Amino acid sequence: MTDINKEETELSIKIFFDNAYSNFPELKTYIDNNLHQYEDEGYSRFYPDFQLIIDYLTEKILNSENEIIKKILDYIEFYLSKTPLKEVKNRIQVFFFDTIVNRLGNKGEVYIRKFISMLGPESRQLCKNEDLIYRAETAGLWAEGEFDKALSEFYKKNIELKKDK
Amino acid sequence: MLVHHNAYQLASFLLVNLPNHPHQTGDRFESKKTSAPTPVVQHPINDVPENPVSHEAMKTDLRAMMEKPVAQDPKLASIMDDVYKENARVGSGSTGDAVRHELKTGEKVGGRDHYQKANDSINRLNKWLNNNPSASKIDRMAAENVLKDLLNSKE
Repeated sequence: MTDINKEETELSIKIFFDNAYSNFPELKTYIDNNLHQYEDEGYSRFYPDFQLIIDYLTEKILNSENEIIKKILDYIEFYLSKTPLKEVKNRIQVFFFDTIVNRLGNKGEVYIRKFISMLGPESRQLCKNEDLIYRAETAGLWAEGEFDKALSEFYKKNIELKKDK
Repeated sequence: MLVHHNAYQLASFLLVNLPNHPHQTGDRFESKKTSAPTPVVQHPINDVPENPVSHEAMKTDLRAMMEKPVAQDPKLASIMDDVYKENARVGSGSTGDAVRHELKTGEKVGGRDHYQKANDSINRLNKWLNNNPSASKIDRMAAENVLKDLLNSKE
């Protein structure tokens, strides 16, 4: 990534968080109240906000507070559909979707299915990208037979990438 | 009788039960110089390589295959939940696997973001180990093994 891209990426991520906090004041309050207690626990040095948004959403999902979950996920979907930067999507894919899917998957299938059912197409695609990297089929994410087909394509692409390397 | 459902469970079992190499200072094996010959018992945990380098290499491989450890401490359990993905078909489903993938494919697929995520998890595990010196031995061993796997994945 070039320095210009890095700057643009960081700026875009900052805008992503700033807009999220102005749209969801309760989320902002949650983050302000909880950030300090994570400092001693070595929480994310890169994006502590993502970790806290994940904590907040996990709590809401476990309590079935669907309205606020849907609103936040719709905001993320809207942002993903507007940003032209692949790096920004990658960050959201790895630091948000990878972690929240891992966490909810470990909490139970009912929670991960509920989460996946609320995602828009861009968000679903990022979750699928992660599934392919891990060769893991997340419940409720793929149509019948779709994962195996995508995985086969993914393997072919990987072989080409290794040859290039 | 112990039944291991798959290679990942076996790897987890071996990592918890595998003794230090006999040539190292360990609490399970006595030094070869002082111990009397003992009968060979056919058990996987005693079947360790003679060479210390091979022994460490085997432990590294086992860590890469290890399934998500079950932690008693809620904070450690939360870290494990974030690091491991359910239902992985290849590897253990850990962030370390994603880093190995990134490095193998020349970082062309997802940048170096999993690498950075691994650094975050390493930091969280180190802090947990420092903050919980009196945690259960099993929890501390689980944290150390996941930590070592994440560090190995970056090499």
